[in-house]
Amino acid sequence: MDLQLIWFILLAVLIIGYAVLDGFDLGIGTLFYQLGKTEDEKRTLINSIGPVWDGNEVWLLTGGGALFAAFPFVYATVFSGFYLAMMVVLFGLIFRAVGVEYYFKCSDDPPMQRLMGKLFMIGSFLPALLFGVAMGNLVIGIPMDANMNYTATFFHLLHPYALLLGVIGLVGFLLQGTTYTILKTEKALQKRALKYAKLFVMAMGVLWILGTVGTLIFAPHMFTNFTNQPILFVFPLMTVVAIVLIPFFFFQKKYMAAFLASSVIITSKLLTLAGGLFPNLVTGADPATSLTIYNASSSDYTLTVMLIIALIGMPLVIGYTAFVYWHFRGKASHERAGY
Amino acid sequence: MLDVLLLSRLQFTFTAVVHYIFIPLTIGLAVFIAYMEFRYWRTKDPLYDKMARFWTKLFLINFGVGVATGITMEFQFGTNWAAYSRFVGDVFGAPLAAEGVFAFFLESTFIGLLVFGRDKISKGMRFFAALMVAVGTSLSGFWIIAANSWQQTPQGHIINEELNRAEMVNFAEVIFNPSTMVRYLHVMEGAFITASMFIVAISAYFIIKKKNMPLAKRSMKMAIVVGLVFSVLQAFSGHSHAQLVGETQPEKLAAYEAHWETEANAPLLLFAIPDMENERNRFEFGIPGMLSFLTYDDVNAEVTGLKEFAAEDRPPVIGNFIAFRVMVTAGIILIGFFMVMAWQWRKGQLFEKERLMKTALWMLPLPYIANTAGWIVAEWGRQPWAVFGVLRTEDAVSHLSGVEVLISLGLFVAIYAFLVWLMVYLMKKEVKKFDMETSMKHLDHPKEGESA
Repeated sequence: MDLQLIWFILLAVLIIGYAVLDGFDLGIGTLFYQLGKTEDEKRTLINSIGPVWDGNEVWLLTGGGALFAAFPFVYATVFSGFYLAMMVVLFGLIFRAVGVEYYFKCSDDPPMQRLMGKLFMIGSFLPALLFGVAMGNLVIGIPMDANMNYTATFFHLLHPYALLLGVIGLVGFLLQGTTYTILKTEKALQKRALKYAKLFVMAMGVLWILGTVGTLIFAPHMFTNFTNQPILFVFPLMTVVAIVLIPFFFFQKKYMAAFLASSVIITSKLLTLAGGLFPNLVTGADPATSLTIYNASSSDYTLTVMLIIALIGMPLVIGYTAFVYWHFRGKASHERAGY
Repeated sequence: MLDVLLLSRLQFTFTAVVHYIFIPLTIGLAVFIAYMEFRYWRTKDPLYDKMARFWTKLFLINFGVGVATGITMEFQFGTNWAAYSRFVGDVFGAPLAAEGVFAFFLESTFIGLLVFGRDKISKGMRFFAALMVAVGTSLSGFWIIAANSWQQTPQGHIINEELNRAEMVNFAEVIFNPSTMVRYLHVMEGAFITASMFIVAISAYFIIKKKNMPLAKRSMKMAIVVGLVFSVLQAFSGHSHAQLVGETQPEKLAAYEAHWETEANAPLLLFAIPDMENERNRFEFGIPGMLSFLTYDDVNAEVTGLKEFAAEDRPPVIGNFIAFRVMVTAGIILIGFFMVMAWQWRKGQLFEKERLMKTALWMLPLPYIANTAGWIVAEWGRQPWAVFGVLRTEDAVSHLSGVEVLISLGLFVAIYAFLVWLMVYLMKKEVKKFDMETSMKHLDHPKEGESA
C-alpha cells in the first residue's frame, strides 16, 4: 500500500466523518422551522446540536487542510475552479455558525432572533445541497486546461447529474438530521421528526434508483472499478440494506439503530463514489487531464510527515470527541443552557 | 478590465484583517477564563465562578464570529491563490492540517463541554475544559504563525523544477524557521494585551456605572497585572523581532524606516514623507544613529538601504512606514496606560479615579489598532513576495475572472460589516444587562433560571 493510497483513504475518512457528523447539524438547520414549531422546540433543537456542531465542522476544516497538504493540486483546482459555488458554501457556513450561536443571545429581540433563525436555516441548506453537487461534478468530469485550471463557468457546474447528486446528498442530510432529532427529543417534536424521517427514507429509496440510472447514463466510467473488483458492490448493497432497515427500526422504536443506519447510508454512498472514482480525485472532461492520487499528490516526505501527524492526533481527537458525545447522551432539554 | 490580482489581494487583506479583530481576544481571554476556573476550583470562591461565567459569555460572542470568519481563511488559499497552493502546498499545507488535528478539534470540542456542560460537570472538569480551550486556541495560533513565518523566512524545502513547486525536505526546519518563535511570542503577547485591555475597559464601565463592583474590581486587577507585564515584554520582543527582520529581510526593515541609502550611523526617522519615485524622503526628522543602534546595538553600524534592491523587489514604503509607526505608538501608549493603572492601584486610588476609568473605556480600540497595523507591516512588508524570495505575489493568484472576485469581495464586505456590527451589538447588550446579583440567584437554583 503506497502513501497516496493511504491518504486517499484518510481523506475519505475525514469527508465521511464530516458528512455523518455535521450531516445531522445541517439537516436540523435546514428543517429548523419545519421541526421546531414552538420556541421551546426550537431551543431543544439547538440544544441537541449546540455542544457538538462546532467540533463536527472541524472535520471539514481538517479535511480541507489535509486535502491542501496531501493533494495540493486538487485543492487548488477544485477551490478556484468552483469559485462562486465555494463562496456560496462559505457564506452558508458563516451564516450557520452565526445563526446557531446567536439565536439564544437575541431572545429579547424577536426580529433579530427571527433573522438568526433564517440564517441558521439558509446557512445549513446551502452547504447541504452543494456538497452533493460538488461530488457530482468530480464524478462526471470537469473541463480543465493543461495548467489544471477549470475552464468553464459557474453554470457548467449545474449539470443535471450534479444536481441529482446534490438532491441525494440533501435528502441524506435531512434523514440524518431527523433521525438524530428522534433520538434526542420527545413528544410532539419527536413525532414530527419521525413523520419527516419516514418521508425522507422513502425518497431516499427512489433517489437511489434514480442515482444508479443517472450514473449509468452520465458517468458510466464509474462502473469500471466495480466490474474489475466486484467486492466493491458491497458499498451500494450497504446503502440498500440500510434504507430497507430504517422503517423496521422505526416500527420497533429502535431509534439509535435508525440513526446509525442513516449514518451507514451516508457512509456507504461516499464509499461507493470513492470506489468508482479511484484513483481519480477530479475526473477531467478529457480523461488525460484527470487529477489522480498520483499526479496530484504531495511528495512522499510530506505524506509521511502528515501520516505521523494523523496517527498521533486522530486517536486523541476521536477519544475526546467520543467522551463529549457520551457526556451529552440522552434527551436534549428545552432550557436555555449554553449560548 | 478588472485586476484579479488587486481584487484578490484586497479580499485577502480585508478578510484577514476582520478575522484578526476576533483572534487575539479569543486567545488571550481563553487563558484568563482558564485561570478563573482554576481559582474557582481551588478556592471555591463564588466570585471566581461568576467572573468565569461572565467573561465566557463575552468570549463566546467573540468566538462565534472568529470561527465564522476563520473558515474563509482556510478556503481562500485554494479559491483565490490556486497558483500559490500548487506551488507551496507540499510545504504550506502541513501546518494547516496540523492546526486542524491538534488545535481546532481541541478548542471546539471542549468549548461545547464548557458551555453546555457547565452546570453538570465538576469544578475540576470545568477547569480542564477551559484549559483545553485555551491550549487549543494558543496551539492554533502557533501553527498559523509557523506557516506564515515560513512565508517570511522560508527554509527546510527544495524547489522541484520538474513539477515546478516547492517540496518539504525537513518538517522541523519548516515549522521552526528563523522567525517562528519570535513572531509567535510577539503575537501571543499582543493577544494577552488585547484581552487585558478588553477586561480593563469593560470592568471600568461597570465601575463607572457602580454595578457588579466586586467582579469588576477583581477582574480589572488581574488584567492590569497581565497587561503591564505583557505590554512591557512586547516592547522587548518587538525590538528583537525588528532586529531579526533587519537580518533576514533587510528591504522590509528599510521600508518600515523609509531608509533609502545604505549608511552607517543611520537615523531613526520620527517623521518623513517618503517619495517612491525619486527614491528619497521629501522631508525627514529623526534621531541620528538610532536606527543603527536599534538594529545592530551599535550607533556606527551600517544599515542597508532600499536602493540596494531592484525597484521591483522593494516593498511599498509609505504604507509600511506609517503602519509601523502606528503600531509602535499604540504599543508605547499601552505601556504608559498600564503603568498609570498599576501606580494608581498601588496608591489605593484606582477605583476612585473616574476620569481614569473613562480613559480606560476609550483605550479599548488601541490594541486592536496595534494588532492590525502589526499584520499590515508583516504582510505588506513582505511584498512583492508571497513567499519571501521564492514566489512572487503576482505569480500566486488563481486563474479567475475579475467579475467573480468583485462579486465575492462585495459580498464579503457586506457580510463582514454585518458580523462586526452584530458582535458589537451583542456584546453591548450582554454587558449592559449583566447583573451579578441575579446571576447569583440563578446559581442557587440552577433549574429555574437561565445560565450562561
